[in-house]
Amino acid sequence: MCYYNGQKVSRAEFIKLLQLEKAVKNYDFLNRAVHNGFAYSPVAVLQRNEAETNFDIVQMEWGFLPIYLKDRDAVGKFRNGYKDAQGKWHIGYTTLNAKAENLFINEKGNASLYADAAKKRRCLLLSTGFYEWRHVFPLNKKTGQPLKTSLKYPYYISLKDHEYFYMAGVWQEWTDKETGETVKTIANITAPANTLMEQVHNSKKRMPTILNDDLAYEWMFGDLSDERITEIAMTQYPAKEMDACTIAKEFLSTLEPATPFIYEDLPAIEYAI
Amino acid sequence: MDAGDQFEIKLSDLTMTVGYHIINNDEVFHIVFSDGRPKLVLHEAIAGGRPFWTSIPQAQHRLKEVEFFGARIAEYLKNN
Repeated sequence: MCYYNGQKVSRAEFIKLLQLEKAVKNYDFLNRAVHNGFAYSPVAVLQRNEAETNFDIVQMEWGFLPIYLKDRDAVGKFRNGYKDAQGKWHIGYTTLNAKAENLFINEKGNASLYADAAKKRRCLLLSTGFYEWRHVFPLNKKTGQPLKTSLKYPYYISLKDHEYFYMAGVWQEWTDKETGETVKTIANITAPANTLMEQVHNSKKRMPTILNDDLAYEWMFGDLSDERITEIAMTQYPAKEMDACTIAKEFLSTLEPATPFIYEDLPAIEYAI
Repeated sequence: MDAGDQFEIKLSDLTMTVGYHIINNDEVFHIVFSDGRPKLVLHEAIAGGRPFWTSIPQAQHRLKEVEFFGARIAEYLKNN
């Protein structure tokens, strides 16, 4: 329970009020009637305050940016890849997600981009649910073998009995050295998929690191060893406490993207008992 | 009532000009007072399963005003 204006409110209500506070702060009451919260691209993040006694709700740009990137042009090259003056192609990097197994040492065995943030700047991404694609390979009618091209079905995944939940994240402040713009950027941590997410996100078999209240508190405020950080980051939220439902393929452009949608031909997900 | 609508509530020595807005899918009332006191943004939240009026952001020093003016808005909405 939390207090808002002297009233004892639930945690979900408290979080809603803090989000409303932020939206009201940025709202022009003279010119605008309806504010579509879904149009905001930044994500809501719980960040430890400076005194390390509580958290603030802040907005961060999703996609962790290393501080050495000079400006937005460099950010574009970093994210999308680019061809240099000699015509050599440099690949881009996706830093929306940070693999729990590679928080300190990356897959090539070098120091990870996220190592310092994992030690000093852990945070919680606030979520009501997330989307993933399930890939289904239809069988070739002549050979009976799976086709090489899959059909993709979007799912909305949420937690039973939890209006809001926490995903582990790490953040990094980044400054554009050309304009002086400073933003906080975030990567959310991913863990190996549990039995439910193995079926939904069956191409990568990963899932976000979802933390219960105790682990969320420890992630945010604990004085943790590297081993413990990795251990928490690898948390697999129990499949039996999660829900996954199919949604319309054009969900990104709808106002109610989490509305269930049934696909007649799609085999059902098997829930472990 | 539609988002963006405005209405007036006349009290004995004060007029409240109230704007009705929807922000983050929540109803919010923006009040301008005729006596020049600071504006209030009110919202009806839930505590222990019961609704209560609160200011957004929190304004501990104006709790009595929040409760009073919130109740006037509720009355107006019930009767109009």
